This record gives sequence, structure tokens and C-alpha cells, in this order.
Amino acid sequence: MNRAPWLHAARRQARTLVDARLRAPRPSFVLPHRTLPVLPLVLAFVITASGAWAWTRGVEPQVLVEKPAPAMVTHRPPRHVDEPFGDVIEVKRPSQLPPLFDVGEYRSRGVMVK
Amino acid sequence: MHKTLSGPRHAQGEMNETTLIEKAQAGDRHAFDALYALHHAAALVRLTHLCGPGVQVDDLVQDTFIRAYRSMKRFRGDCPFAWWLLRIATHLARSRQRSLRRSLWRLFSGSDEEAALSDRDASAQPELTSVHAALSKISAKLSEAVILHDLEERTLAEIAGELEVPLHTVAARVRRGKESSCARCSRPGSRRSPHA
Repeated sequence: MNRAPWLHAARRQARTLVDARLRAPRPSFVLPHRTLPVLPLVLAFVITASGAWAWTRGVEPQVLVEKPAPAMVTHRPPRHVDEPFGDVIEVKRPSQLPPLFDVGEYRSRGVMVK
Repeated sequence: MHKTLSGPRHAQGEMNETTLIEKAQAGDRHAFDALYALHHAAALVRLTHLCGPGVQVDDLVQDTFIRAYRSMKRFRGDCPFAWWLLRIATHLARSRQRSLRRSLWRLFSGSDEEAALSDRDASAQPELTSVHAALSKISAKLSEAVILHDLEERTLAEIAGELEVPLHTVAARVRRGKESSCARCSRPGSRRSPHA
């Protein structure tokens, strides 16, 4: 009837093995100490430290930053004939005019020259 | 329906166990120690059967109870505590075998103590060793059913209740598991006397 006679011997041996292990003194249940989650802590430290460093580095240049140099304004190119009409060019002396400046031409184009 | 460890003659024990479980769920360490004392042997027997000879199961027993302790609040009480605990033990044994099968490192780093134990057990329990070797080659569900039924000598109803599968499924698993492992064990078995 039993198609697995090889199991008989195995069962007997399993019983012996279990009995032997049950005869051994039972160890007491010991909960292991929970280890600190090291990786999240290290990550949190790195993120905080880098953030603090970036913040300190980011604040200092704001204090030391200089306003745009006025030299850029002074270096604006002189007005030319192609400038849009309707502008008002105010000069006191003809010597202040840019070279090749033709007052008549300006006036003919609608630029008021005072 | 469930056949618990606490039958009629253990009515007092069942009440005590229920109280112990409630206390352990509330965080009472002494209550869990009492549960450990009650169920240590069952876990040891189950893990010994599942892992076979040559494996030190003390660590696995400890791991089972540690896992049970940490997930004690998730125990809803819809099955006997022993079944819930043995299911944890079964999962642990299965995952250990899976990791051992996958790990190449074991080829190089097997501890001498474990190897000596394995050799000693293999010589002391040759049939059991060959049965476990054959069962390790078939699927985990089938081998588990055969082990519970034929080595641990549980009834089909008990196994069905514990694994939460229908009775005929367990019967089919046992039959198929025996057939598969018998085919693998036939060669060494044919050399020996069948009633040895």
C-alpha cells in the first residue's frame, strides 16, 4: 500500500534526531539589541552638512556682491543717424556732436536738435 | 474547526495562552517568555523536519520567535497561535533554503563546524539525508506537504488547516511530492532493503 517504503527509515531517523534535539537544554529567548540604522543617519548628516555649507557659502557673496559697474552706462555707443526718429538730442556746442554729424539731415528726419 | 494545541483537556491552558497572547501584544515581555516556553519545542520540531539533518536550527528558532515578537500586534487570533508561529518558522526555513541555493559564497565559506555536523548527521541518518536531498529537488510546496505528512506525521486535516489550503489540495501535494521524490530516491532505495 505504501508506495514510499524509504520514508519509514527516514521517519524513524527524523524522530531520533528530533528527540535528541529536544533533550538539549532550551536556550532562553534573547531579543537582540536593535542596531541603529546607520545608513539613513549618515545620509541625513551628509545632507544637513552640505546644506549648511551651501547656505554659508551662498550668503557671503550676497553681501560682497557689487552693483553693476556704471562704466557700462558710460560706454554706450554714440547715437547715429539710424536711431529712431522723435528723439531729442541736446548738445551745447557743435564740437560735442559725433563726427560726421549732419544737423540738417537729422532735422530733415524729424530729430529735434536744440 | 481548528485543531489547536489546546484541546479540551487543555481548556485551562488555552485560557492561559489567550491571556498570555493579549499581554504579550500589550508589550509584556514575561508573557512572551511564557509563550516561548510553551511553543519552543513545536518550532524546534518543525524546523528540524524542514531543514533536515546537518543544520543547526537553534538560530532559526530564535529568529522565528524574534519575528513573532516584533509582529505580535499583527496576530489577529483568527487561527491558533501555534499555527501562526509555525507558519513563520516555515517561511524562515524556506527563505533560508532559497538563499542557500542562490548563494555561491557557500561553496567557499562553509564553516568547518557546520560541515562536520553535516557529515556526522549524514552518516548517522543516511536515509533521512537522502530523503531531504531528494525533497530539495522538488518544489517547496510539495516537499513541505511530504515532510509534514510523512516525517512530522501530521494528518491531512491538520496540514490543511495550518496551511489554509483545501484538504484535497494537501492530499494531492503529498501524493505528487511522494511520487516526485520517490523517483529521485528510487536508485539508492532499490539498493537498500525497503524495510531497512
